[in-house]
Amino acid sequence: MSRKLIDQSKGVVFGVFKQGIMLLMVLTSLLPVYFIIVTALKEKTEYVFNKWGLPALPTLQNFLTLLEGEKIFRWLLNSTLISVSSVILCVMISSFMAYAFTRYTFPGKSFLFTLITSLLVLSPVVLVIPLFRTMVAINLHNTYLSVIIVYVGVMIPISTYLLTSFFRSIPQAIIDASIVDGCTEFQIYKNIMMPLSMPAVITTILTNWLYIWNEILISLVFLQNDSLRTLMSGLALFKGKYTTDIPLTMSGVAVAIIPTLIIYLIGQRYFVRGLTTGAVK
Amino acid sequence: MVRSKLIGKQAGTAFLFLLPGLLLIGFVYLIPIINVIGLSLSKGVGENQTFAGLTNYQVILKDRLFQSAFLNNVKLLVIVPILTLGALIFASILYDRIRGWRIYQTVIFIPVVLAIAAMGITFGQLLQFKGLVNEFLRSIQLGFLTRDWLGDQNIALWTVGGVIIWKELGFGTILFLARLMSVEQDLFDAAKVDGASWWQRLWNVSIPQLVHVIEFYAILLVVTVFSFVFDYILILTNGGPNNSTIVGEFFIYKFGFIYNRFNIASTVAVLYLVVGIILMIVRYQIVKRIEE
Amino acid sequence: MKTKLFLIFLLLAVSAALAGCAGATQTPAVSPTQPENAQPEPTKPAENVKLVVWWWGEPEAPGAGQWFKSRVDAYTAKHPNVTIELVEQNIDSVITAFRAAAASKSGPDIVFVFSGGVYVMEDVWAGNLAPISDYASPEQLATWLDTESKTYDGKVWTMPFYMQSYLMMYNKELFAKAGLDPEKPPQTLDELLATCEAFNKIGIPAMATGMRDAFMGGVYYSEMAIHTLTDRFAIQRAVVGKGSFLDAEHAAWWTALDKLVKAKCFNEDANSLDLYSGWELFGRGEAGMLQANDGYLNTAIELLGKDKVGIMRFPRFTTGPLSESMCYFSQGLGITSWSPNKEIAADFLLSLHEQDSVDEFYKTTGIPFADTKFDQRLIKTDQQKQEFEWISSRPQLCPEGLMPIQVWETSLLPATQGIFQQSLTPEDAAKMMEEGTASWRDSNPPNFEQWILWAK
Repeated sequence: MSRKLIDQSKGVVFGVFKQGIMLLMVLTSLLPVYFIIVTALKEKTEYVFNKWGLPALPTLQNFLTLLEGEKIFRWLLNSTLISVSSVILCVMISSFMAYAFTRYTFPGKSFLFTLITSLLVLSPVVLVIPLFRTMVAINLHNTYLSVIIVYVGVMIPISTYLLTSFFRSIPQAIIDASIVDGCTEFQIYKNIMMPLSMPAVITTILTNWLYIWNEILISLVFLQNDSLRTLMSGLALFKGKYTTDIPLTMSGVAVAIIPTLIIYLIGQRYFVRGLTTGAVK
Repeated sequence: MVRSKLIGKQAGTAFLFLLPGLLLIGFVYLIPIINVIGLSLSKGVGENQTFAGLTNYQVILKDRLFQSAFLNNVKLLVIVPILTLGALIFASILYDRIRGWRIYQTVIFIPVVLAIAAMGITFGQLLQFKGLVNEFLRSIQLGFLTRDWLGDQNIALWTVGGVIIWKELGFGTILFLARLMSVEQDLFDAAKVDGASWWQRLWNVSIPQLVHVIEFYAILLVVTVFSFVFDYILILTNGGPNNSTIVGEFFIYKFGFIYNRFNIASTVAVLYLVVGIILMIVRYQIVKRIEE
Repeated sequence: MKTKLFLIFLLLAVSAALAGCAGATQTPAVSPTQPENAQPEPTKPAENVKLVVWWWGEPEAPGAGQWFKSRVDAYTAKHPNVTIELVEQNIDSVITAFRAAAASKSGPDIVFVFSGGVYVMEDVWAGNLAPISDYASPEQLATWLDTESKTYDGKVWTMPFYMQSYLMMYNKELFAKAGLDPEKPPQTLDELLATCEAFNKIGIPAMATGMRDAFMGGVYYSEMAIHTLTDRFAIQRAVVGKGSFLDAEHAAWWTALDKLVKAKCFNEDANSLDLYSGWELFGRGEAGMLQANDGYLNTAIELLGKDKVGIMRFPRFTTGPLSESMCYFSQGLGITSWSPNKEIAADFLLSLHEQDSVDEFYKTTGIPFADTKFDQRLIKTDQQKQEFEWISSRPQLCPEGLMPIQVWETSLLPATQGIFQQSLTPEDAAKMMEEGTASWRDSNPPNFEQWILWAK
């Protein structure tokens, strides 16, 4: 009896501990977001004296200054176009590769796989100058296509690695059954592997998206024209331009994070569902 | 005979599936890597490029700044086990469906979607000596814990590590949680009936089920530490104080772009590539061992 | 699946189409709106020309962008066959993107080049710039300020743009509060240390700073280290190994800086603030003195009031031959060696030095243009008048461009942080400089021959 009581009180303590740790997590996760939003709504002079509190007189002036002075919408469009097309292309190409690595035996397979995955560790910083030279030589610099090619290339190793490890966990029996049903190789890829791998595909899309949307160096070097800039490289200008004006900088930061945040908040239900459904146990 | 024919046919189909990826990898990696290896063995660039043998490597391996940059990368690897374990615990707590778990699950992922560049500015403010973090510590009677988080050369690297943990924790948690949710409930129920504690269930049921996801997450973190910490460093510390937070990628960027030292930058890049290959071979061996 | 594929193709098509129109930057665009019967100037080529300008300057001279636009409009109105595209960069990206551009000899026609010395020379030696002096008359060259730091091989390589100087300012009200004479700021190191003590008594930091990004370390070096040098070429000599950073003329300033740190002259959160956050302390009236630039002098006057802000010279701690010199410089604009339209680019750049342009720059930004033609009656504040008087009467020496950027950033700036952290002694700091320079010399730096020539 008393043992049960102890267990119960232990459970309560543990429950409190779990809630406490979660609340701490919520606090630290949201604090920066709070800071960005309240600061963006402050006037420069108010911020000097009131760094953390709510704005006494919320103002949208910072956002107006921003929209007036910079091509924010154009940059947003550029980022969207570049990110969406790179992610789609990368997932397609990487899943083809992953399929080949899972389904077939061919000479040099494990060597090739190790080689491709070791490219993971190569920082894109290294690639920028040689790639830029090549792009100039084939007259592709200052085009969306140039950065899309680079982004897809940079993300192929990680995506292939992730998809391959997931494809491998799909039981051979399912594939054998579909061969008996007369499926072609491409049909197996399209109708079996991809749908069954939704969690991995979603994870890949996410990893790609986060990298590409937030990337600065490559887009800065390859797109040297104000109307071609991506949102992040456009906002990188802010670092120097308005450094003394933190509220204006934060309004830029807010513009940069709010689209992703909204997409996430709307999509997160589907995102988590996608991660869990169709998973092979 | 039949077997080799089969392999031949397989190789053909495999090649078709691999082709687009290989072309792109060739374009994006092969040309630059050849270029970078060439530069690492030379003095000067372009028309002035002359063969210099391994002198750049001799110089760089002796260079104190490079040594500390590499060491900093290695030190930052500490975040890999911390994050993996942390994400496991958070995922397991959420899996218990404690009160408000849906909200927690939404919130924990928010840092992941926020841009590093944006977060860097915010953390630069939060972590000042007179910033909100220290104010908060003082207000809850933990004043002795206050530090000059980014300004003290003995702590700055760990603070950067902390910010990376803050940013990456949600990703692991959600990955693990999703995988847990697709594990059959029976397994956990059976363990509960057997009287296994929360920790025992974590250790004996969850982790074995999560092995593949954990491996992926850990690899991703190792990669992050070696080649994607540049943004954090640039914005939070700019390599300082007193060079205490310089890492390889930052070194390559500065020497290549700012100091006009392409040969040195290329040499470091080649060394990091070699480290990458070694890491992947080690991974391959470990996975093979485990599978056997 | 079909709809998905269609979507992909649609996206690719759209991006290709957009890329197509954007890609036009490389070929001189024929503007359809251009009047066909426009009379081209007889001396200029009649075909259409497009110039691309990468510029920076808004943070130092707020309003520079507006001025630039109006100068471009004025120029293109006179020369209808020329279109000029202004691309604003930030100080990092203008260097980063220009390195990539230079590696493939393709990019802008006109580029912003920081200050002088190595920042100019590296591009001169790499063959990335065309000398502007080839296109300017001696009369035009004569009025430019700070051309010496941009000169190599008898030619001026970038055109002076606007002026910058490292200024020391102080808060007169706080001086009075600390029991000091607001009209007599400290003039020697000992007086400065006494000032720090007086400020410590009232619990206000004497000097505001932010060392997290280390840039302030460069400001202190520029203000303090030059005074003990024996001659103008001492730094370059130490760089190429004909002198040593361990010598007293180079090492003395570390001791001076160390004394200031030990005397608690700076705000206690110095190490955790970045440069601008440090400056803000002064702007909020929370610190007695500050070293900053022209732009922040204007900001401080705006925030604190005209009567409260004084400007002073950095207190001297030696009487060496260079102890009267001061660090002021002009930012520059250069013509790229690969530009197909160098003459037109030069013509546009020279138009920026015309009287109305020079005066308009000050009216828009409050920062003086780097030309003696600048009408000093326009100067709005007494502080700036004083500054201009100093600039025109004192010798100039800015060390930032005199050592390799690698040594500056990997040895000098970190060593100043080490002094602030008190993790390095002045001797350690000098040693770090010398070792950093030696490791640069030993690593086959490009253009070492030119360095030796340049060091005299």
